[in-house]
Amino acid sequence: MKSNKPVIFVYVINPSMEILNQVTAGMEEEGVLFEIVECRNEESPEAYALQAATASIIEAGIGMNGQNLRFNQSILKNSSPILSIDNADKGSARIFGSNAARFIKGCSLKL
Amino acid sequence: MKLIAGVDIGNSTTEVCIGRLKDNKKIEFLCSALTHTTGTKGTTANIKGIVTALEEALGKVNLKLSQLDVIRLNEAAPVIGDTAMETITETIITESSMIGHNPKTPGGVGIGIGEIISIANLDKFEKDKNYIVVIPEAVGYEEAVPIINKFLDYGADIRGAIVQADEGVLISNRIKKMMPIVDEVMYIDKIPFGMKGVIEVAPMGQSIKTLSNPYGIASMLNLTPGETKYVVPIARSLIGTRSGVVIKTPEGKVKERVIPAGKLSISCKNSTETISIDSGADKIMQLINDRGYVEDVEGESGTNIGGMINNVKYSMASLTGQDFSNIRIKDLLAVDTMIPLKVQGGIAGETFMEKAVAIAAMVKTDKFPMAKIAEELQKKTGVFVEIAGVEAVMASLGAMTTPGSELPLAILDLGGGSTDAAIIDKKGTIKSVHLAGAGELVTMLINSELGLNNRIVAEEIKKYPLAKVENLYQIRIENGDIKFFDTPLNTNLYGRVVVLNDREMIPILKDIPMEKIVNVRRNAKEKVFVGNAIRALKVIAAMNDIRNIPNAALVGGSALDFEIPDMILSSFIKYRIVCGRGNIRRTEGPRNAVATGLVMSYGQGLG
Repeated sequence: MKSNKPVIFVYVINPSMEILNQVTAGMEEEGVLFEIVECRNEESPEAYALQAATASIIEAGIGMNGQNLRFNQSILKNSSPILSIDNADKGSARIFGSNAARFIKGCSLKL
Repeated sequence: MKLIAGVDIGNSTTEVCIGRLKDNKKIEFLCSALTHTTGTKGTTANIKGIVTALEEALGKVNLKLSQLDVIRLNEAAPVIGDTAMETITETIITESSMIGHNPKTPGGVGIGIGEIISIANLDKFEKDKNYIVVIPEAVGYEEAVPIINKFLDYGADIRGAIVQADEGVLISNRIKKMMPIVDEVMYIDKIPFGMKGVIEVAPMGQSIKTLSNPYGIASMLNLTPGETKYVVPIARSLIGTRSGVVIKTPEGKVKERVIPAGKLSISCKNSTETISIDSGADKIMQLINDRGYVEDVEGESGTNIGGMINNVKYSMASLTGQDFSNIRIKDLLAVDTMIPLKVQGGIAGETFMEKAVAIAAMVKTDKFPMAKIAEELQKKTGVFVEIAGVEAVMASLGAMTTPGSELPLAILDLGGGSTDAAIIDKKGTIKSVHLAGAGELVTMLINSELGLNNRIVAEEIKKYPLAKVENLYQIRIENGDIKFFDTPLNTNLYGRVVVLNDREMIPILKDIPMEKIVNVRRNAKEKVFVGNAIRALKVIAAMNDIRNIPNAALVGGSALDFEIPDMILSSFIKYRIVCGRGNIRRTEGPRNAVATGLVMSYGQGLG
């Protein structure tokens, strides 16, 4: 489903609320909109990132399976995700969210 | 028939030219090669590089080292240059009276005035007072927001917030009242509680209007005319920022002062004059140019400049085996510059542009001990080695092989440590000069004006063009061209300005717009190379009038730079000089002038 707003979709399975909140806080602080979609099938975060990106009109999406995070653009479906963390903690999840937003804004990423 | 090799040992490269002297006394040029100079120029460590270059060149025409009849070494120009920088102004924020670091994502919008209070002490608020609340990193937005909302409900008049973490937007989106919020304030514990403060955040895309105006600050803080004068530097440092905070503390102000930066003593034939570095580059250069001929320069001991001048003299002394007291500085170039320095007393890591003077000094002596190199090279190769030719003479001879050139011909050798010029007239007379200020000074200016603290990156910026990484598959080069890539670029390059050297893209980690880096780079080259090119030609021109030089050729490594020759040519247009990159023997471009000259002069007694 395509939302009319320019949002980064976040497709989540097995959510860790703490980590999810950090990711969205990172995006919000950078001023980029997002929408969370709770999923039912057990799929890889890469797969969800691509599905999320395809649904987004800005063609960017995040896939989260537990604490494993992936960020991708739908154009790049044949290559590895742009951002990728496994077993993210609060700090790295916040930076992950920031970087996803900064990518959309065309800014350089926090290292 | 003889096989001759000419060898030129430079500061960075060792160049070689191989030629055959035929029975009719004509020279047939065979091949050339170059390699990195091994060791410091003028020492036996150079021999490794010499042999490498010789073997490479000879290999191209299927000849061997043993077949050479003579190796001719240049009399390396006995010149060493060095650089130093002196800051001459500094800015200090006293009593934490302002915050001016311009965070990327402040929160809210508007202007707020109130007493500075810690979020931990909000419970002590008084109903008839306004407050600006300070939130340390330990209190994250999830904790801070309910507290602020609770006290807003209780009637606390909170007008703004200062936040340590990067959470300005997160807090602003959740609190019940719209207020300006400045975040990313590093040293939040330095903020004085109980003082009155004003905070301003401009709408996106705009800059603040009240705190960047002394009358604006005066209006908000009820200042007297005398007090208003003191806040002028504060207002000035907040110009163009999207957010700022000004705090009224008893002695709080932004102090700007001139740093006594040491003196230079310039000696000429009959007199010695002293000038303070903080007089600025123009006054220093005026003194040097008025004097004409510099005998020596000394720097005040205990200062950066004093240290540099002593170091460059010591280096020359140890290289030549001469006594330190016999070494003289023959030329100095001073350049005004601005460098971003962390301001003392800053609460958020603010940097301000401070004035500085960059100085290059050049030391010259009679000769390098080339004999030692010649002796060992002869032993190693079994070939007769002779030291031939003053560098300036050989370079001029080589440069003359440039098609389209005629005598009198001037050459400009833009090197790393010095800018050298020579002119050869129709009678064969040569006049030459070595000036301080060259490639190394340009690198230093780029490094300090951009606040890089990284000489390697600065050197790359000097040599190669820039590009902006627009997305993972394309970059936009500084001239507007777009380059595409088959495979996605590394994410650490995304959104950054990169230097396009031959092999890779080097990201510039500081957040500086590409246009600014281009300007700094071109400005540095203009100030040093173009300025020195003119200075050098004036010294060697007949009657010191550049218009008496019809032809000039640029030789040496820097002549290969992608923009310097154009800049020099443009500035010489008004003098009507035919000037451009040399093209030695029609094939070498600006390289190999000295090595070629060494081969050309064999058997002609021109060495």
